[in-house]
Amino acid sequence: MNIYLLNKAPTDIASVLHEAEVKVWTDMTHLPDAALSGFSLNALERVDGIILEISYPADELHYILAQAIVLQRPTLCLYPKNREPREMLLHLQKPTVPKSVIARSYTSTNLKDVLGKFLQSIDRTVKLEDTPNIKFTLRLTPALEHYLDWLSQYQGINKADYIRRLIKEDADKNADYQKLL
Amino acid sequence: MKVLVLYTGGLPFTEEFSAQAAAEKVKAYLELQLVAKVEIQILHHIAGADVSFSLAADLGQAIMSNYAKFDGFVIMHSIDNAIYTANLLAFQLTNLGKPVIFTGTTLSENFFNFPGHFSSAEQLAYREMSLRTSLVTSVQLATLNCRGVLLAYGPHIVQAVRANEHLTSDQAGFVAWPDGEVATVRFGIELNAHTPTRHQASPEFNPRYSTHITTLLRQPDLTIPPLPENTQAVLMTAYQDQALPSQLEFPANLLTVVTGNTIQTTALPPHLLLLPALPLVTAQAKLMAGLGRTTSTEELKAYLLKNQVGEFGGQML
Repeated sequence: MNIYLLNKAPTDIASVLHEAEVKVWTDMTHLPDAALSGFSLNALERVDGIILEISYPADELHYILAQAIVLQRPTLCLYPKNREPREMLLHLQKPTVPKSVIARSYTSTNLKDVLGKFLQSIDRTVKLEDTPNIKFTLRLTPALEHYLDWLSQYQGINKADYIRRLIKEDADKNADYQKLL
Repeated sequence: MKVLVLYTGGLPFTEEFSAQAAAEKVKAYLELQLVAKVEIQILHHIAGADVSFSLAADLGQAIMSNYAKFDGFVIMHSIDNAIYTANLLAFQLTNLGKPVIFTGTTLSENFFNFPGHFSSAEQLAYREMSLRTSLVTSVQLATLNCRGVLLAYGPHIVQAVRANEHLTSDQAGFVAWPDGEVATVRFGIELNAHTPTRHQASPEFNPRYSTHITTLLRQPDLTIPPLPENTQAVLMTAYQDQALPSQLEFPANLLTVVTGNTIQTTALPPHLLLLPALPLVTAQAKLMAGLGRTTSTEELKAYLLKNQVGEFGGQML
């Protein structure tokens, strides 16, 4: 999957996208030769999705967004929750803006989740691991706790990582659940 | 930045609609307002095939009237004949310190020449998308640090006076002679290093022109047939490396201009001028504008030999 990213914010969005193993293009120097000439209107025709950080000024932000609207490319407009670009958001709420262009707020904790949902809306096979940010209290028997302690001490495994991995493996194997996704 | 869009025609719709309806359609392209503060004026509502040279003068007048109020100008013009209107305007509206950009839909008829592949509704949708993309690019370009009369049909932005029509299997547009490409569209717009920048001086507008030119295309022996009575000048194009015959009979009372890479074998008669570096359309427009300024053959020759707006390449003047 090819994603065009325009980001002048201090948040490192590109690294998160690399985790999902998508190709990230931020300017023309990243483009293969075939892509340089293989479009008739704008190079945005050559990407599968566009991600724009809209809360920090960038020379070409408005131009790229206008082209994304015209070309109806899947586009994610990102802004930090505490830095809402009101004028831009008002424009994006107009009925003439296609549904392929969406705006989402992000925080340092939910960025991966927001990006993952957008990438999966384009290609469901793309995986971007979520940040485990939901607190969950788990009561154990002394025997189970003893086993976890042993794993942690002798095999160097984080207890929480181990439990998360068990749940994930079970979810991956559950055919009924997978049908829901 | 403020940009004035002058509409002359070229909206890709099959139904008849009024000029006012055309204005409403263009105003509905709200994405333009993301790029700049855009105002739209309806100047004409005509198809490209019906355009006459007087359109250039109308455009020049509209730009002069609004020059101080806007940072750049975009002209919506059907791709048919756009190169003619743009070239004549370039010689009428000189010393431009701001960009004046012609744009319109770029999809050629060939794009749809696959029977059954595109319904008429799909064809219109594609054409409208092509128009809106070029329009967004042109409005953005009108805010950048460039100047002159430009053609922006598709991803190649070229100087009008260095342009040649270019038709591929799926797109119509323009390409430039060397040095004539002003910018390239990729994700954003990349201005070329040699692209001239804005200046504050006032432009000069002279709308006079003459159409009494007889154009002769690739005459095998470069002879001139009987000319219409009102002919004021003759424009001939030669084949590549065609030798000028030693015995040439040109009208003694008229200027004859030859474009193309001819080989000169004899001294040129005083009423013959070679302009090898100009595309035919540009030579025509320059001759038309020159004849609008003077009837003296010597003054006309001097006008034609001077690089007026960058038509000979290098920096635009």
